[in-house]
Amino acid sequence: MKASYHKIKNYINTPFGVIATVAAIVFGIELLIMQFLFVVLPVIQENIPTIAFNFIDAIILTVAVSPALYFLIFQRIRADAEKLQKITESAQDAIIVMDPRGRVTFWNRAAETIFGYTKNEAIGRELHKLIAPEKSLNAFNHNFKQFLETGSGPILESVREVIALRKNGDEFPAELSVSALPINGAWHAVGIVRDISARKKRENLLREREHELLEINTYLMNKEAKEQALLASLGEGMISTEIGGEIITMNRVAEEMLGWKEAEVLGKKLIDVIPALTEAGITIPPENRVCLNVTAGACVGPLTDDSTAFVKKNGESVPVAITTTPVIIGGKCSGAVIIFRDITNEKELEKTRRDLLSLASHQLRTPLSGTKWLIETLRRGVHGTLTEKQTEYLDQIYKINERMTNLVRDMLGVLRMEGDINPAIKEDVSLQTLFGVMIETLGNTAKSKEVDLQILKTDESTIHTDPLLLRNILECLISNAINYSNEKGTVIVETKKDNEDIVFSVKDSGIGIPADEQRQIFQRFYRATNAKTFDTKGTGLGLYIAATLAKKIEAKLTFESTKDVGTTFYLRIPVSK
Amino acid sequence: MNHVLIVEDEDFLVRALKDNLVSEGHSVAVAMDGEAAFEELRKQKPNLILLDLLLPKKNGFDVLKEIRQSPEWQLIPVVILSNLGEDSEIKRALELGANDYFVKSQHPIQEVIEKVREYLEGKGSTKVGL
Repeated sequence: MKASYHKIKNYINTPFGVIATVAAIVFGIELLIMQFLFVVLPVIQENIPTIAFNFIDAIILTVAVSPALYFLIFQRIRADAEKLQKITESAQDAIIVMDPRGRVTFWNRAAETIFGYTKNEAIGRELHKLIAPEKSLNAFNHNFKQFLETGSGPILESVREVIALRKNGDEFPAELSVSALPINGAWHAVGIVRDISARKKRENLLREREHELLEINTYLMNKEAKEQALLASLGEGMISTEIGGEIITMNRVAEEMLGWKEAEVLGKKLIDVIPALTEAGITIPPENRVCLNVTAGACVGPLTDDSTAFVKKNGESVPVAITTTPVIIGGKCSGAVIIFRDITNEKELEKTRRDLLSLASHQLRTPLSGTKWLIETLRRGVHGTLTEKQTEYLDQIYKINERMTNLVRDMLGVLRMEGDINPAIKEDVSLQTLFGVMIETLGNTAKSKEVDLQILKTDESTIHTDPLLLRNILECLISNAINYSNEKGTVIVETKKDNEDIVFSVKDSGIGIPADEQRQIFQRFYRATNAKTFDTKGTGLGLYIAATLAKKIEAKLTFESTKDVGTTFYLRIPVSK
Repeated sequence: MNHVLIVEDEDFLVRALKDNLVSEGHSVAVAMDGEAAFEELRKQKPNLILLDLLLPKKNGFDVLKEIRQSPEWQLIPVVILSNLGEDSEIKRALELGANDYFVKSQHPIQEVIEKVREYLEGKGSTKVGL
């Protein structure tokens, strides 16, 4: 009974069924009108003219009216169908209908684009084999069975993300929504599929970016934490400033050293908050502050300075060694970092060392100078003429005393040099003046040995270096050249410019340095074997001092020597300022 | 006759200097400490002062400073004779107004005597002998 009801219902749903149904309804209405006109009305009102309508007329009328009605209804249905087709064809999403056998019965243009199958290729094919990857077929079969029986299933009435398969074998992410459509007692399925691969790609990209950002953020946070920890644990004071000198950060050590809290000084100018003093305790004018070389646009550095004291919040001062470094970001100077440490102890130690050295040198030199002057007084004949033997003995004593004096001088020189923490100074040194002093100091020694000391003229007028250290080095080299030359030998001092360097050469025609001993010649207390026999007075400290001082003024001290021919020492000083 | 004041606490150095200066024909006064130097200055204004730096009672730097501040003595040439040879000490003495500086052990007494002669003859020019 129920099956025949569905059959009739399905039949009525077809176009022919619609026409037949309409014709039957029209025919029925006509019959009713006719019954009213010819049977009921004459009974009520006898004077109404009778019009001859009969059953045949009704059939004729029906046949005439029905095609017109059919046409009208068909047109309407066709318009609706076209409209529906346009809608489905213009859709961006694939619209697919599947019959109860699992075969495609509808396939729109978007489905063609998304899956790569034309409508003709798709219609009639098993949908899932067409568009679902193999791995999801089992799940489909299970769900499809349930769907056929009940019109329901886990994927119905919801939108879910699935992996779909294109004709070319590519799998892609898709959004799928499925509705159940009962037709003629069987469940059809309408699926709407949206290709979300582009969106997924964007989402993945976004996720990757997000992940990267998270990583960067984590990295930066770690870095910042490390830097904070580093700054906090740094044993030295640290202040960083903007390019204008405004304080950005001040670490804990700086706070403790200066008595300021970071919060109190942030944004204020370093030179205003922390005045600086010279070693003599004189306030350094703001325009002369070292940090300005970095912050006031010059952007030079790192600059070091250990002759300054910072004034603390409470007005006391603390001697500091400062390194000021520009912060360069993207090739532009954006600020400065000032690292400083308290050198009170070093300064005190340095003062103690200096005092000790000063006292030691004084105490050692005084008896030596007394002996020297007393002998010289006797030799001058102030207390009468000396006998030959007396003169000979006094000369011996004098030589011993001189040897001791030189040893004391050299040893004190080494102590002074090795303990000296002060950097070499740099200033323009007049070569004429320098060589004048050399002649004055060593001219007599050369003359007494009849050594011809020649200081050749040079085109260079000045050199930018430490005057005292340069003088000490040259004095050592020239005095060695004279000492180790034979009588009537020649010592030539020459100054030449070589590329970016100024090279002093001191050439003698002396005893030379044996080849196998040349490697040790700059060692402390080392004396070449031939030097020991040639001049017994040497201390073995001269070249050691010269080499150490050369290093201090960033110069190179080298030599070439042939035994019994002579030696040339070269002092190469870079001229860059 | 020129009058030279020797301010020196080591008697053997005083003896050497005094013997040589007297033999040159100068009269000599000796002060063995910083305070005695001023007593001698007050007794007789010298033409030249030979001044040691490490002295009892008042050190040579202070003596020099006082001399240079005194209107009466400030023009007297002062030659430092010391065995302090550090750069800072030499610089300090010259800044305080010393005319010359000799590190005693490094220079024959003859050089000192010649320097004295130069100053007394009005030819002295400031130079430092290290």
